[in-house]
Amino acid sequence: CATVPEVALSPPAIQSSIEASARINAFQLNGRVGVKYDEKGFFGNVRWQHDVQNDEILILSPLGQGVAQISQNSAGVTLITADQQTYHAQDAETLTEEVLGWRLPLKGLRDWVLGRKAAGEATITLDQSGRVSRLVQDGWQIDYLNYQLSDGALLPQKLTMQRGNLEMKLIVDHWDANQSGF
Amino acid sequence: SSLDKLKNFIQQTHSAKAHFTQSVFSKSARPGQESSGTMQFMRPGKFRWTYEKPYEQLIVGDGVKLWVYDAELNQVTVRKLDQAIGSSPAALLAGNNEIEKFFTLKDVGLKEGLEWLEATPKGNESTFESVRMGFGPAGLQVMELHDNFGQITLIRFSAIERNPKAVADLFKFVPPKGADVIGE
Repeated sequence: CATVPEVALSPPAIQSSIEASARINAFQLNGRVGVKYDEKGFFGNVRWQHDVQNDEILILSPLGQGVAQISQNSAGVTLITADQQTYHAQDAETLTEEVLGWRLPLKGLRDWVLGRKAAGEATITLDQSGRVSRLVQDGWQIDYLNYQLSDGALLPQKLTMQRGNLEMKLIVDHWDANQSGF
Repeated sequence: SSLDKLKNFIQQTHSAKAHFTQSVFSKSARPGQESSGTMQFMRPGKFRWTYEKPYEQLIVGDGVKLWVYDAELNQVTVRKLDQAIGSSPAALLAGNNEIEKFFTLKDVGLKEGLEWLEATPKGNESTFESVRMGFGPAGLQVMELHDNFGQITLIRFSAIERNPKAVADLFKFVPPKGADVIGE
């Protein structure tokens, strides 16, 4: 499969690329997500568009066909399935738990996917080059297995997330991230 | 017309092998995602859709089940194929004459030198809106998939080999050791 070159950066360069990823407030990513809880779960390709007001996460089959779409804005969260069933709730956590049987921690994931902690208490472990290797927050343990450089920002390429019997793997194949203040 | 082209594609092409390139577009996102690989099928219901670039994914219809595997995620999903025939364009390709049982077929004329047919799934719980098939001298050369979310997938076949020598176990899928297998 496509091997990602190990990111070789001097400490100051890493420092500035970590600061760059800290300033990101809008992004689009294309990648793959796998979810597993007990013997159930799924995996699919994912396209996630995020900005300050809203999120749109589209889960796709390998053939690029939509399987489910989760969109969140100030009015709440909507889930639409491939056969166009529609579900609403106040937040993604309760919606996915009710409809899909597992809890998508969207509130925290917006920051975790960028390799940074969300608001509130968190325990962070750094690797020797100062990148976050593990983050524990809201009962989730997030392990960052690989990073990639995208427009000067150091962003995760592969991460795993665990909470109780729920495991998620996320691989980001392409980042499009814009930093605030540009 | 394209309807006759589809009929003799089904009758004469019992199996086939081809290289494909795939691009996925949507109204909102920036330029689409490109991928490529090889596709093989044998009627009815057997197909192997191998994505080689940009990453390794595999869809296998073994006649009974539909397997989907991602190497890097090391995860496999499996479900019954008969539910899938109405929902997976890959299964449509390897369908036999009961295609008309699951799809309404309509000739939509000539474009880019190909004769186009539109297949719309019957029944309402289908997971995609329509599939267009472009037939040329080499048979089925282009497929255009429209899903229910405004995504469009364009698949171009090349190096098409009709009725190649059968390869044993080509349409069998055994999950790799250690892979998470999910589904029935």
